[in-house]
Amino acid sequence: MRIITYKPKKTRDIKELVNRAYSLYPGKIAFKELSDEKQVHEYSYTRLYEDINAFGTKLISMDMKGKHIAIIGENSYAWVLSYLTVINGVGVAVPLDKELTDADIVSLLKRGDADAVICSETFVDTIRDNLDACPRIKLCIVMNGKANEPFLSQDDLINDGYRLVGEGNKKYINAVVNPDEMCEIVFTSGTTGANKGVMLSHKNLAAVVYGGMSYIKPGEVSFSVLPISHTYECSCHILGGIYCGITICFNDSLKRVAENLKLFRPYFSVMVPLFLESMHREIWRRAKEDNLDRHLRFGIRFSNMLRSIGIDMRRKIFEPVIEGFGGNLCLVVSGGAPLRPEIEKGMTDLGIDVLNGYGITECGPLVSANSLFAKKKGSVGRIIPGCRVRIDSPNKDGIGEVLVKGDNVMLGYYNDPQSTKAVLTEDGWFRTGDLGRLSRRNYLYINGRKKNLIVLSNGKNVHPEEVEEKILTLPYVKEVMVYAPPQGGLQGSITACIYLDEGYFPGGEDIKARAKSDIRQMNRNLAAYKRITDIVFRDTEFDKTSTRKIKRNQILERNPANA
Amino acid sequence: MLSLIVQILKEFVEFDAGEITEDTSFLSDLHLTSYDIAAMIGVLEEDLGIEIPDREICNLDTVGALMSYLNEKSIDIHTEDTESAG
Repeated sequence: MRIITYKPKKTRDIKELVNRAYSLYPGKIAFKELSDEKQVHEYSYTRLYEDINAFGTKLISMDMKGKHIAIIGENSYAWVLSYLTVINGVGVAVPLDKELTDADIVSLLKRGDADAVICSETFVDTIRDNLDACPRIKLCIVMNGKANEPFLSQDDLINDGYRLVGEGNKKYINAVVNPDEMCEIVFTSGTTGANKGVMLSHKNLAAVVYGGMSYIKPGEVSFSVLPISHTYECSCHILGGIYCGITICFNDSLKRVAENLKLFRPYFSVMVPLFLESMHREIWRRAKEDNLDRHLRFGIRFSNMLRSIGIDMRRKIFEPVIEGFGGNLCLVVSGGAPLRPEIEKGMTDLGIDVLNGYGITECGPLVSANSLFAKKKGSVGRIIPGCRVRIDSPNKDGIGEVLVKGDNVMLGYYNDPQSTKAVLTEDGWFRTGDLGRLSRRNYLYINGRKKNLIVLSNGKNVHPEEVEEKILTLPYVKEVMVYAPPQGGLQGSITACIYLDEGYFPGGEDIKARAKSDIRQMNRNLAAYKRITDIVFRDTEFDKTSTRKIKRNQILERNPANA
Repeated sequence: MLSLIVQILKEFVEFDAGEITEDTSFLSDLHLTSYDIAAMIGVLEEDLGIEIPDREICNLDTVGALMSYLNEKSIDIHTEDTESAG
């Protein structure tokens, strides 16, 4: 079977990817961002290339070769510059999620064996206050800020690097990266044993860029709104965008998405279902408010009729709607969590094509994606070129565990051979833990998860066991099950179903009120996306297996409070 | 201050104004998403001419928590003025 693709060129590694962009698009704007004073700053591909070389040369001169360097901050040029500099010839990048709590950040700095940290000003206090707990860290660098003991200024280091390069220092520029070696450690969600440090190589990242760009053409201007520390945003959008020579505009805060879309007027973006749900709801809320919902419904029927005979007038008919998102937004790739087909269709009907994809951090992350020329409703798309998927032990409907093999599959989990062995088969297949089926035309359909992982609509993953462990530290909690009940077709907010030891307080204290209050306190020490939003109580123990494990799936099919 | 928050919330979700108390949770009671909450804080910032750091938004999970935060930051709001201006 012939697979239609855009036929990109395969790069050996990410250094080659950056060098290629520099030679093909030297004067083009690579990144745009807003300063604190709301001024737009632009950075060309030449500037990116030269800044990387200067910063890398300086870091090598500071004995950073082969070191693990953690990077934490908002989506910005300085973040991308730091990341590319580290992986393209310095050492191993350890990107950390900016939404983690301070305690989680410290824990991951230690688990990632970070020797240095590059952070935005937001995280300076967190790092400074916890340096004693991370004795391995010998170098702290602040992005876009002034030197302030123990932090060195990234700008000063880059300037010094330019001087070294000018004097003929070529140690970084001539460094050859090994595409098979680990170049970054990405931590999956969680901070306890439940989460893992995924080791990715240049080969993995280059495979994702090649696979992604075979199916997606991101136009000229894109909007970066997802956390850049996640592989979905970093590999698919940032690295893919550099490959194509587009201009990537950074959203400076979730508070200003609508405003920034109007400012940057992007053609393309990479999003999670949460955004698309909100955008879709907002379109209809406004239409209703202005008494235009009937007109909009008629417009969609009319437009779909024209499309059925090959006339696409969506951008003209729905111009006022699209204007609300900057006016140029044409294409959004959705991933990170399941997207409801009605949202995909709803946005596409209005002129913003939504392409659903599937990935997992351990696969760099991309495994499959739909494209404008090959798209199937309800599917997460075709398997990307260079990657293979097999369904393990399929049932009568062809559904089984999704196994992946290819250059995008990780090297393993950092310092965790046991977990690595559990997910990588001897012949190199990665066990995703997701259940799905593969059509004869190579389209993948995801049907659920084998593991207990909660995948929220914002793409964040929560291991219920991690949260349950915390709740079980309350001495009057006998049993607990954490889950996210579906809400309007999406996986909703995190809920804890608790079986209490009613006799724990002999004085007759209101034990339910106490549990609610203690969990509220507990929430303060959890990353926002892991917080328990709803609490339900049950009067009896949970049903258990013979090995005393809660029958989670069986209970979820019914009402957990009574099941 | 409560009436200002209620006024801004109306731009994001439909509800009966009488239902909103300090204990109302944005997530579990009003079913807002984390993205809606951030956008709502953005509108509040613009209306009040203040800046609330992104890292602090996740702790503003109820109407009461948001009110206390604004009080702690000594943000004085004259609701009547805001309403008549709107």
